[in-house]
Formats: sequence, structure tokens, C-alpha cells
Amino acid sequence: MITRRQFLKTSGFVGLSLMLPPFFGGKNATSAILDDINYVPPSVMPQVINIFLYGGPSELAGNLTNIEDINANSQNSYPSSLDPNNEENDITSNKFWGAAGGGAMENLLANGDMSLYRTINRLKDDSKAHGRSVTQNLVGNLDLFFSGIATTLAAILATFNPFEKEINELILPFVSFEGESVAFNLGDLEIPQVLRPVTIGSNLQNPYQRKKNWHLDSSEEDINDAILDDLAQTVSALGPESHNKVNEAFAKRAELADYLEQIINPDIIYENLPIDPDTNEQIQYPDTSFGEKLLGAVSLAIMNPDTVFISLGSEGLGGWDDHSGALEDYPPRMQALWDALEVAARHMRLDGADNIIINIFGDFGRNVNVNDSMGWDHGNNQNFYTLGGSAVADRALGKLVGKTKRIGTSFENRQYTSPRSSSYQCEPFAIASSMFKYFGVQNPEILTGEPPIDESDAIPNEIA
Amino acid sequence: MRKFGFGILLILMIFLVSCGGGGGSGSSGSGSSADSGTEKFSTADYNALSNEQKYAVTNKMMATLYKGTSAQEFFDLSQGMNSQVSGNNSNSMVRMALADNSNSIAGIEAQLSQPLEDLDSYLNEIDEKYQFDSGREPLQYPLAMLFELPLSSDYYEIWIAYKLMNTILFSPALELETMDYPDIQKIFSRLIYMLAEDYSIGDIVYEHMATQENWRRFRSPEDNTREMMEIFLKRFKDEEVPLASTACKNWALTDDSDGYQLIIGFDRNTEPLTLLNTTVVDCYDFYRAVAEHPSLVPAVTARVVDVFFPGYSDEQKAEVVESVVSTNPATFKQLFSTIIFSKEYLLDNERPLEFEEAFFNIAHRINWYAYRNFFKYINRQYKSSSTANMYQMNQAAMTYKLGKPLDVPLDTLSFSYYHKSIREQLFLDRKTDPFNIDDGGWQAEFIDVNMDQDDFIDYLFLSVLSRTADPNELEELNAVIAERYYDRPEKKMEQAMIVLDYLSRLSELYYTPSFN
Repeated sequence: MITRRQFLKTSGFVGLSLMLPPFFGGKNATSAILDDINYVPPSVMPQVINIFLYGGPSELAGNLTNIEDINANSQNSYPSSLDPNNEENDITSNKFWGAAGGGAMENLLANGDMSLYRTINRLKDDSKAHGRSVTQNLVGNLDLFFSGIATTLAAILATFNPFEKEINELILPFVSFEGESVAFNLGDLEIPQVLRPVTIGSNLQNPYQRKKNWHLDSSEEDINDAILDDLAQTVSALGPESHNKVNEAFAKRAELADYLEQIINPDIIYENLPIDPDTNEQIQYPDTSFGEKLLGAVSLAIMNPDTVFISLGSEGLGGWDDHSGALEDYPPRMQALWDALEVAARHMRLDGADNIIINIFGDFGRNVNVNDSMGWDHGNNQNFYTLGGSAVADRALGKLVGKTKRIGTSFENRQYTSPRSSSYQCEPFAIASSMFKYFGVQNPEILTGEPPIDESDAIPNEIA
Repeated sequence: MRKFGFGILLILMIFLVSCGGGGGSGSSGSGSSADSGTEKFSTADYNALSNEQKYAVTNKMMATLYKGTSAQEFFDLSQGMNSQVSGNNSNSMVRMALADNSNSIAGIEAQLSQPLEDLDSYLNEIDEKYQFDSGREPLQYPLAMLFELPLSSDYYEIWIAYKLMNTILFSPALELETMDYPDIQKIFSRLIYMLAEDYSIGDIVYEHMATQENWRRFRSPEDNTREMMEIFLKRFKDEEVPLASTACKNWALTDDSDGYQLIIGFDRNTEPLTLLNTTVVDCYDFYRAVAEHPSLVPAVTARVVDVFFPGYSDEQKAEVVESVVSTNPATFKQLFSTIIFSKEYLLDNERPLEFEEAFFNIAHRINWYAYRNFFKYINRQYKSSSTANMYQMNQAAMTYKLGKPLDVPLDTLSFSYYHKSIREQLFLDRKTDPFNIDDGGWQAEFIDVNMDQDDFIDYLFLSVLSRTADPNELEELNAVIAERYYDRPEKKMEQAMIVLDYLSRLSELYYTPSFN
């Protein structure tokens, strides 16, 4: 009889998860809604980096079209740099806030690297509550118990497999750089283990490597370490299903340790950064926690085409719930975000990575009245910024969409931007619909209740 | 008038509770209810368990309290392993008695009602033994207290305060720029004091709401009033927010340059507002309306139930909440006691252990010594490459604006740090110098037992997992031990290092057991 030791020696210690009982993550992903999907494999497989700005970012960085009216009616004044009548104002040609990333936005728009939608507006269930709004926006549905947008995508890909390989051969298809995220909520879907998310640290540190136990193995082969792992996973697999999450984490550990060590460690990433012909130097991301994270995310997507969805918060920049001190805190935070995004877009362009899409949005927009704590309270209408992915079918870049007006009572708190009656607008769930569309779903509205964002020429481009 | 109205409401609630219930104010005992959700775990329930299960349920309770009971304490192991832990022998060598009660859970409950004789001496010991980052003591000190202080009413108050400050109810939200370490101390001290003085839930909530610390977390009239209604009443009515914020219109937080101070201006609202089933004029009225609202206790109960029953469905949680509320808990102590000493919690509930529960439960069971800087490093708020900390596990204490995540973060990254800490700082760390306070780890006394081979492996299993090894595990572990030439009595330490490493890799270690 072959012993566990002999088996592991000959198999090279890989594929330990194959030894797990078949019920463990092996079920097919189906649901009533998936049965109704009309699917055509995409001509170009997108990869999506989803940056969610938790807290609800003010839309003003990307929309100062109403600032004169806003300032005239605000309880507290905006700085003179935002007065259009000030010759030295900080308002760009397309009405972006210069000190809040406006310069980068202008460049990205002009280069055809970005589109901006200024009228992502809730008509349904405008709760202005963080939890509810975050959940709905990241499940792409009014139903809070729906599966996260990444889980739904995983189920679609598992069902229709547009890849040129088996699903279980994919490497790190779903990745989070922000730990747990609602985008990965399972809801009532079951998806193969290989499509469950793995989490990577922002600086690509490798916590998956185990500190060596010299009492266990004194050689480099670590045979006894593998034996303990195998035994533990076998025993644990017989335990309750409620332990599956930890079982999965252990099953993926060795694979992740090797992958981070060999494929996407920081040395390899920095080595592979492209040279910018304008400067003759390697591009450089900002030396910030967020910059590091975005570098990791973009590099992973470029180096590993199997990674189709990456979830990123804006950790390292702070939250966006600017109830107080907003005029001081918000602009530099937005600037830091756009400094990193501008480099990311350049990185993608120089590497010819024209299938990578970066989406940026949040819970909701904010009041435009400056309250007595010098901040903005919760609002509704928000911006959706979307970068890259020029090769993806039916994708329109270089567009500036949506016209807004100020609504609310003068010198009272609840004043907002809101779409003009003639303006295009859509619910935040349209963002998820668009993403599903890019991956081949022809009728994504059955998943979200909303059609995708209308990127056709029928929607006016407001670019200056 | 408003206080009189509240008294009438309380009398009516007591009148309407059908039986047995209603712990009155000032009592540390829990009310009991015939409802299964809060039926108290009894001596009969305890005696129905096997010896291993008695030990397991004892440590389930102890883990909840960040404590642990060792196998050596619980069992008489002088004759080895076999006769003590098999079967359902009510005459087994169950040695441990925490008080004069016949079951260990009752003994624990009794201890939690007894004050410490000399709290100051314990605090002095902590000050001598441990080092903390200057200015960051409010974050780092509480766990040291919880590690060193024995079970007592003082301990219970500190533990409840720590738990509450890691929920959405009272989180100091250190991650926010507006918050600072002294804010943690203020909230903590106030909670401990009011818990010790048996202030009601409503009183504690009211005192908290009208503080600068609360305004540093929720920073404008609209933000603050919305969150108070959402957090303490579970009331999500956006249309009420403008009214409530009008009542608090003269309250504001200054900016960074002025030190984030709460300023209450002279332009107080004078127009009566109908809100929360009462009339409210100013911000104090609003906070009183929240604190006296009939939804307060159910909402607060629901928040605490969320912590202890995270895997329950909404319907199941609602049943537990209803059951707890029916006991009319007036204080947080009554609320917590009703939940954690219930049959539902101890026998039925299964959930992932949060870091403090897993780590300190095992630490106490394996005679683990905390080195001088342990509580400093485990609470560090940055990404360390040498030792894992709670921040890396996404389980940082008192940090998150909305409290710790209700589901213990078990994504691959968070869990890898969790596992790394358990494995490297508990199991693979052995204290080799008994006189060096910078040297931590499990101590020689842990393996100083008169057992070897299979018995010794079983002892290690029992000490950590409350069960013995199965035959397959014994076979494999003995094979590894033999392969390393450690299958000799003098190699117990090496055997322990292998078996403990194995135990760290079992998923059951990271969950509470269920007995049904």
C-alpha cells in the first residue's frame, strides 16, 4: 500500500485540493436567472478593476458645471479658487476641479483613455444610507441579498466558459486587494472553488509562505510539512460545511505562496514596468499605499490574463464620507486618486493592455451645500469614471456625459446636483449591466433590473 | 414629563412580560424565559454532556470571555488519559470547580459577579510587566488587562466594554482622522464606570451620544442624527433626518486646525419638532428621545445578537432578539448574560472565533506567556512583515467606523495572518528562559505530564481542541515523529512542536463547537 509520504513525494506536492472530497466546491453554478441569459462570447475578453470609493465621494471633482449657483446658495462659502469669475480660478475647461485631480481627468479624456458619466442618479430607493447603497451598488441590484457582481460574473463564466481552457485551469481569476467585499457575496449562487476570490495584500507581501518548523523538516523538501497539510485538509474536509471558508483558505495557501513568490512578486513587477517614451524612464506610480495597490492590480491583470475581476477599495486614501472638513480633505485625496489612475492608464496604454477596464464609483454623491462642519452630507447623483478597455466591443471612451442642475432650498442643507430634464441619466446598477455586457451577456438587465449604460452616439458628448 | 412617561412605559412592559422575566435594574443575574432563545444553560444540560463535551463547552464559554481552562485544570490526569475522557461517566474525574455550583458554566457565572479584592495590584503588575507605545496605551492596554485579570465582576465590565467598543454601537473608529487615542480612553472609562454602577442601557447610550467622541465619529448634524437613529433604533427613514438635524443645528465639529472640537453654538433650535413619537426641540431632546424610544433595547439587542450569532439567518436572529427582549434586560450586563449563558448560545450556536477568542483561549490552555511587547505589537496599526497583527487580519480593535465586521474576515489574506499568528506566536513559540520577560511562548509546565506516545498526543489534542486524536491522525503523526527520530520520552518538546503545528492547520480550531 502506498503511504501518504510516498504519494506526496512522487506527486510533487501539488494539487492538494484535488484530494478533497468532490462536494467541496465542485458543484455547478446555476440559478433561475442564469437560465434566461442570452450569451455570446466576447471578441475581446475584458479584465475589470473595480475601484469602489467607500463613503460616497462628492461628485464636484468631476463636475463644477453648477458651482456658481451652488456657491451662491450654500450655507458656507466655497473657496475663491472655485469662483468662475475669478480669473485665477481652479476650474478646468471641462469644469473639473483642478486641485482635485482635474488636470489628470482632462488629460485622460483628451487621450481617449476615459469616459465620465455625471448623472448616475437613484430614482429607486434613494435611501442615502451607506450600508444599503454600498450593498445595492456592489450586487448591482435593488435586492440586498443578490449575489455580488463578481460572483454573478463568476457564475456566468462558469456556465458559458468563453475561455480557451477549462475553468478549473484558470489561475487567480477573481482577486481582491481589499479583503472581504460585497462584490463577492455569494447570495444564492454556488460557484466552483477556482472562481472564489483570493485576497492579495496591497504591497504584494506574501503572508502565505509558512515560517519553517525545523522540528518538522530539516531539509528543503518539506515533506513532513506537506504531510501535515494533507492530513489536516483531509480531516477538515469531513467537518461541517460551515467550515468551508477556512478549508478553502488552507487549500489555496500553498498555491498562492508559490504564485506570489514566482510570478507577481514586487521585484518582477518593477522589472516589467514599461519605459515611457516621453521621459525615457520607467513609469512610476505614486509612492502611496493606494499607488502601490493599483500598481499591483494593473500588473496582475497585465501579467495574468486569467484574472478577469479585481476588487479595489481606496484604502490608503481614506474614506469619502466627508461630513466635515471636506474643503480641506477632499481635494488632496481626489488628487492622490487621480495621480495614480493617470499612471495606470499610461501603463495600460504602453503595454498595449487595451482590454483592461478600470471602473470608479461609490455609494452615492453628496450634498453640495457646505454644512456648518464645513462638509457635505449624503447625496444621490454621483459620477461614474471608466478608464481603458478600448478594444472591448461597444465601449465608448473619450465621452463626457450628463448635464446637471442644483436642486434644494437656498441656504438649507439638502441641496444636490441632479440631472437636468433633458440629460441622460441612469441608475448605478447600469454599471454592473455594462460590465456583464462586456463579458458577453446580451440581456444584462435581467440580472440588474437596468439596461447597460448607453454608450451610443445618440447620447451627447458634452466635452468642451 | 418625559422621564415620567418612560417610567409608565417600563411598568407596562414589565406587566406585559408573561412569565419569569424581567431582571430588574441593579441585578447582575440574567432574567430567564421559557423561550428557547434565552433558556438558560442548566446543570441538567451540563450533566447530559460527555466529559470531553463538558470540557469543550467550558472552553466555549471561556473563549467567549477571552480566557481558557487547561486540561490539567479540568481533569485529573495523574493516571494518564484513558479513564478520564471516554464515555459519559458521571463519576469521571471532573476536578474543576469554579465556585460552589455543580457545573463549570454556573461556576463561571458566579465568578463574574464577584469583585476583585485588589484590582490595583493587578494593574500595577501589568504596568511593570508590559510595554506599550507612548500615547497609544488606550488601544493596547485593554487586552493586557483582559489577559492578566482573573474572572470577576471587574473583569466582566472591562470585557463587556471592550466588546461594545468593537461594535457599531460604541466604536471609537480610530481609522478616522478625526479620532485619537484619548477618545478611546474616554469611551472605555465611561463605559466601565457606568457598567459597574449598573446604569441602564438607555442612560449609557444617552451619555455617549452627547459627547465629543461621538461627534468625532459622526460629524455634522445630519450625519450624527441619521446615524444615531440607524445605529441605536435601527430606524432608516431618510425623511426624518432633516427634522432631527434641525434639532441639532447648533452642534458642529471644528476642523483639523482647531482640533476637531465639538462646538455647541447659541443658535439653538426653538421650534418644537415632532419626531420619534415625541416632541423634540434641541439636540439634548433628540438624544433623550432616542435613549427612551421603545425601539432602543430591541435594536441594541439586535446589534449584540449580530455579534454572537453571525451565522444565523435573519429569521433566526429575530427569534433570538425577541426572546432576549422578552426578559426585559435593563442593563448591558443583563443583556450579555442572557445571551452567553443561554442554551442556544452554548449548545447550538456555531460560528468562527474572532482572533481574541481563539488566541487567548488557547494561550490560557497551553500555559502561554506573553512577552513584554506582545500587546503593543499585536495592536500595531500597520503592516508588519515579522509578526502578524490584528490590523493585518482586518480584526483591529476599536478601529473601524462601524465596528468590527460581523463576519470574522476569513478571506485568504486576512485568514493567512490569523493562522500565521496562531501558528507562529502561540504554537511554535516556546518560552525557553523563565526569567526573561522578553521571551514569550508556551512554557515547559504545559508538557510536564506523565504521559507519552499516543497518550501524550491525545493530551495535546485535548488541550487545544477539546478532543482526542482519531486513529488516522495518531498513525500519521506517530509516523512523522518516528521519521524525525523523536519517538522517545525525552523528545516530548519536539513531539509537541510537530503536533501543535498540525493542530494549527485544522479548520475546527477557528470555530466554536456545536453540540447539537
